[in-house]
Amino acid sequence: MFKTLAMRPSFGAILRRVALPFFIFAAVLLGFLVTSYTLLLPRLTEVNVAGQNRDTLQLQQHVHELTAAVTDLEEQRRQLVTPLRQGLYGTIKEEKFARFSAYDVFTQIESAAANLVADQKDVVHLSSLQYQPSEYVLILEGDIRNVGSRSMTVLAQYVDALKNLPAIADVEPPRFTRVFQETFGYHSPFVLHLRLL
Amino acid sequence: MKHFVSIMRRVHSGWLLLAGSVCLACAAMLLLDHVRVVQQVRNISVPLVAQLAQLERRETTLQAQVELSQLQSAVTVGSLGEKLDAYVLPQELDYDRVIALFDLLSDTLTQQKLLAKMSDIQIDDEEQIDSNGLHIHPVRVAFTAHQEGVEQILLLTRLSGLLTVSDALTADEVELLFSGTEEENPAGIIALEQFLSLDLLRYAQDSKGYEEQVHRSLTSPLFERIFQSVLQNSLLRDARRIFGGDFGRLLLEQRVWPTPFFTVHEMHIRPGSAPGWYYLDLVIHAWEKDS
Repeated sequence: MFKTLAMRPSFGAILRRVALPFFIFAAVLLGFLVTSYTLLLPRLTEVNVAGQNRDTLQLQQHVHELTAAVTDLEEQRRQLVTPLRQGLYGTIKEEKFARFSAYDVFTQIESAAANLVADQKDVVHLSSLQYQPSEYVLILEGDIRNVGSRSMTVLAQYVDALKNLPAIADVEPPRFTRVFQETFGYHSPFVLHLRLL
Repeated sequence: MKHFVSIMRRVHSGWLLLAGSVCLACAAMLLLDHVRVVQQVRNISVPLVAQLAQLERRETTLQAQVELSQLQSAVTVGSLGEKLDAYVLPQELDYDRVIALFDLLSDTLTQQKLLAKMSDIQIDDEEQIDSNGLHIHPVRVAFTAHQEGVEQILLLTRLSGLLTVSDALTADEVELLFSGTEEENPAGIIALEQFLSLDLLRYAQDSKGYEEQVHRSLTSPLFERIFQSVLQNSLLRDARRIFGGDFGRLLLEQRVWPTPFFTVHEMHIRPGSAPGWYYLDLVIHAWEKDS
């Protein structure tokens, strides 16, 4: 027992013993990695673009420059082929076509009224359509008729249909009433204030 | 002496351990850098290389198209600018042309039995609307027209002031056509440019003929799909509808084309005395610019 303990080397002795192999291993490893980093890695990872080797950063910069050149050329082509898009005329034309036109609004309102109840065209009776695009306002007056006592329900459906039109941003909820008149029975008159897009 | 040698060995081992540790640390950092570079290549370089070929092809194509367009556009821009200044955004609104335009529209719609009556036309004094040097003249006019007639009157106000085919297309639609030429035949830009700079009324009068000219230069199914989609979904369809017939022919014959730039300021529609007929009151702004 005593003999075994006397033979065990101290920690300092172990360190002294491994110091040289440890240094040689680390130095060789570093040497290999430096060689790989300076000679091998660039060969494997750089890309030859337009006769020049580029790493990732240089490649990013090249693509950025190329994208800018393409955008510039697109703009040049746009100005050459469609020259009237610039300037005063281009600006007011863009403003005019940015909003829905009187034609769009009229056809959309007509279509919503015609398709409200299947197989029945004379349900929505419009007595007035006022379009004021400068104030983004459309005022519809009329009544729902020829659907008997369901006129208020159909009016609610009509309001929903109007809300879904592309040209309409919002519809102010109307007053829902049902009135009986001898000539065409129950009907629901309405005044609708619509906000245009 | 023996003690000294022992000390020197300890010091020597210490230096070796320190140098080995530094080398190992440097090696670890280099190893991490290797990993970083490989990751960059996989995540950035590979997608960029794929993008690069397409970008280089586009740059070459665009350069060729710009050179061709420079030669072509030198002639057209000047005459378009003159027409714009003289008829569309004049310094002083030509009342005769405004009246003649509505007269021709009224005559055409009456012949087609789509218009019962057009009121007197009232053109008010000019009003300044902003600081950009633009003025408007309110034009008041009323019609008793069939639904189809109302649609044509409103379409005319929508298309008024447009000069060329490209004016009737949005920027996105023009860009879509450009991309179609790049995909197929970059030199086709000339045919497309000629089509886009065509007078809108002349196109509407012979739309098939002018479309055929484009087809002859750009024949791929992809471009054909894009072209048809633009023809059917843009204002060109409305232009063919309103200017394609007698009204368009009369505008050319009576020299009322191009039309002034109009925008609808107010519209009031009431049902007429017969089903499908309407009373239409319009306040239109006719635009002019400062001298």
